[in-house]
Amino acid sequence: MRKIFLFFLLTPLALPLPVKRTLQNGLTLIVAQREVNQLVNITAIIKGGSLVEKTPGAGSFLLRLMPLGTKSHTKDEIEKIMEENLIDLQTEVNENYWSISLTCPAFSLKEAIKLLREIIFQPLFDEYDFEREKRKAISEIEEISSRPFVSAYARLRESLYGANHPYARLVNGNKESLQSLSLDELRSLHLAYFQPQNVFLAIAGDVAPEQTIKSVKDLLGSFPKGEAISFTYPSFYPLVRSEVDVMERPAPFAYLFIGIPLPGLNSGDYPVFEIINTLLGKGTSSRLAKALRWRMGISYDFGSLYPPLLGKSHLLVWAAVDPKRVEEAKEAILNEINSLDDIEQKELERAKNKLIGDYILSQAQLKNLSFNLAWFEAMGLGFDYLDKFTQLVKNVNIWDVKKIVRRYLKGNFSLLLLIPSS
Amino acid sequence: MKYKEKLFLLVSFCALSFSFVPKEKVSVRTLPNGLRVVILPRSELELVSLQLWLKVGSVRDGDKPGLMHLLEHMLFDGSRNYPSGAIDEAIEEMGGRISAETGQDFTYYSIEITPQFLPKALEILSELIRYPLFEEKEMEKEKRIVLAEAKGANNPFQQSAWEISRLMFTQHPYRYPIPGWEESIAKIDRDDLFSAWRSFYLPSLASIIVVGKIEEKNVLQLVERFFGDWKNDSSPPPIKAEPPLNEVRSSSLNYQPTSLQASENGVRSYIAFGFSAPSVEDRKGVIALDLLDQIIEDGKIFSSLKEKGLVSEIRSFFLTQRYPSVFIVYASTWGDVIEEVRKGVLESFSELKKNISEEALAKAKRSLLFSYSLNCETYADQAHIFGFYESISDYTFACDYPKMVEEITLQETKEAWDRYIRSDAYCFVSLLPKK
Repeated sequence: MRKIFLFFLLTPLALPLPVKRTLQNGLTLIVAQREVNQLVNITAIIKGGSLVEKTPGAGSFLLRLMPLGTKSHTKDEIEKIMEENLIDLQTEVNENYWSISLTCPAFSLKEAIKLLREIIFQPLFDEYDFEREKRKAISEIEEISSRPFVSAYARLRESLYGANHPYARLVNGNKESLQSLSLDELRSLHLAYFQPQNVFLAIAGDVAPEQTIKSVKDLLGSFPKGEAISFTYPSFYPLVRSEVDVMERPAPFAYLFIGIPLPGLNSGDYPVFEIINTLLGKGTSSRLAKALRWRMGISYDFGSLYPPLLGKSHLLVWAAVDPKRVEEAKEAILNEINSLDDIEQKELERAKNKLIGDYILSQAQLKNLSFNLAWFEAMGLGFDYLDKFTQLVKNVNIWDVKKIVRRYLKGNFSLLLLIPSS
Repeated sequence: MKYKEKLFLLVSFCALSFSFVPKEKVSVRTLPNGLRVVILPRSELELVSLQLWLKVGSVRDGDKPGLMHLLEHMLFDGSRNYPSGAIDEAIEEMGGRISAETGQDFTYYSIEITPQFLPKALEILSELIRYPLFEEKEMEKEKRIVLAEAKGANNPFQQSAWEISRLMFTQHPYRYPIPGWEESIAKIDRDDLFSAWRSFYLPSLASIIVVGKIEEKNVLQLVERFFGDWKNDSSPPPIKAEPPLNEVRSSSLNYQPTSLQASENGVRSYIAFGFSAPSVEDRKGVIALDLLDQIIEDGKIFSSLKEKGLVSEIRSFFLTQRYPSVFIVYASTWGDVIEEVRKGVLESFSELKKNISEEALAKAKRSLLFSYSLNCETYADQAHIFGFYESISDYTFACDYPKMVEEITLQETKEAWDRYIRSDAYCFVSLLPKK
């Protein structure tokens, strides 16, 4: 008999605890010291994202424009700063936040913080850049939205949330919405949300915490707090009836998409949803893998997804299959979802270990570590949720899983079949 | 002052680039059966990356393209003590990850796990590599999976890259695509799999890499226990060498466009150049082409083509390989300007070769070293880079890499570019939309 020593799995990172400070202007800072190749990552999470935009795509476009010029530096000068100090910049927008992530050698930390300060608080919003980027974004959006996965997922979300819901649309917007976008809208979006009390900053890497806190205070502490912001998130409601939809697109396979509404990140059951997601569709020993990959051999590209959204989220299950085997695949997937409540102890332990293992492995990368610290803090779970999460997962028992499966997964669903056009 | 600042940056950067591959901390042992064990103990995180790299990949497919890739898949489809899929399950229940990949020169298997499970992970790895069953019914199922994998990865870039390989290599097996194609995969039978496995999955062609929170002595004992009695039953035959390329070879293909290839200027076409590239033996050549790859990524070299609206995207691809290989430049463009783009790319290269300054080269070196350090961030990254160089040469290449980049001179770089990036010897592919 093989015994799993879960205890060891749960306490693997015997490292200095992250330190949190809130500056007087409300900016939140978390510093985690890690000796990784003299590298450091700074991630800023700004609450808002596409949920708070008026015109679809405005939030995403805002973040595209911000690093292209600030009140102190032109686009070329910013590129030069990044080149000289070896700063790698990545941005991301989702439904609930904007994220700006900079990775650099530890000796460039101060320069990176200065650059981040300019990008967040002093973007230029140049008319010429705006028009040029708009043209680019419009030409890109067509390509993005015609990808089979993207277009099908967007359509499925429409049926889960209703067409005009901010969680239903593509964060990049669409051709018409981008055309109607104005610089004024971006300016006011920026003014409303990019202010210290709405910025959650995490720095992870080869840094001395106290010295880093001081640098951040010196560089970012003087920006005024700004006006209070309140957020409302969509509340959870189940589907009134199951829906089946078919679309045609040029694609190498047929794609099956099944969506089921679930409560979001801020519901107390978040760890159970993550376990169910792992159990069903993550990794090569999930239920979907066992059925579609190992038993039937009909799909190489499949899985499940539980986006950790605030308010109302959903479970997405997808599989790419030969068009001739769609019915078989559909039956197998629905069967796997429906029978999740026959879970046994051993299977639960395996899913928990897989989930915790993935979580720990992902944090070996500094950018993931600082993202998680800043994101948990911004989403209201607290930066120390990073450690709590594993304990919460460990505490979930078989009855918690069965209860959630019966409550949410046995009801209505939305199914979309994408057929390759001839 | 400015000069001093720069100097400081360079000195600090040297420290950065050396810290992640500390040669003196790496130990290497060769077991009596020829298996190499490369160990790098690290202490920051409670994790271990365990990888097994073989010096064989699709170059050993023979007349059955796709064979070595299917073989890699089949190892997960049942072995002595683990039925199909059970190896994945065993690793995942320990909270670990397992993956594998087949390249042209290599095949590797990778496990990431917490240290207390290392013995179990090594046991599983030995079951996977040494005791496969190759069951007929699993093989039929797996053939469908590898075909789906190949189909999913197919895109204009991939299509033109395989066409470049076909033009470039007339004798050498780099000519064929790693996953093979439907007909070649269909022909593979169980005996082919057995025979490829017996001929090429040998300890003398393998390296085990372990990076993470481990003790060297302990790792060696474990490797000895699970792999010490692994036998070499054969030795692989030599591979046909490719005669040098001394001409321009062109071809044109059609592809089926979808809305993905639509643009304001009409449906896109794609072009690809393949230039001769050095093998890993020519270290200076490799570094010079890595620098060229970096310069292309930084984006200035082809800016005039972009500004004129002749190309919408242009990038390069170069992988260091065991045998002389290919440097690919790939662009997304439009049918009516292909000749102009072809001329423009060649001109941009000759311009670069003529005019590149010390400063521009230094900049490319810094960017290259920074990307290199980002690629070596995690234990799995470090094991990967050691294993990769083990499969084509040996792991010390990874340790020496930053120093080699720093030391190459402008003159040496230019000479290497002249040797490989030639306007009178290259392959050219255009991929046009079907009407």
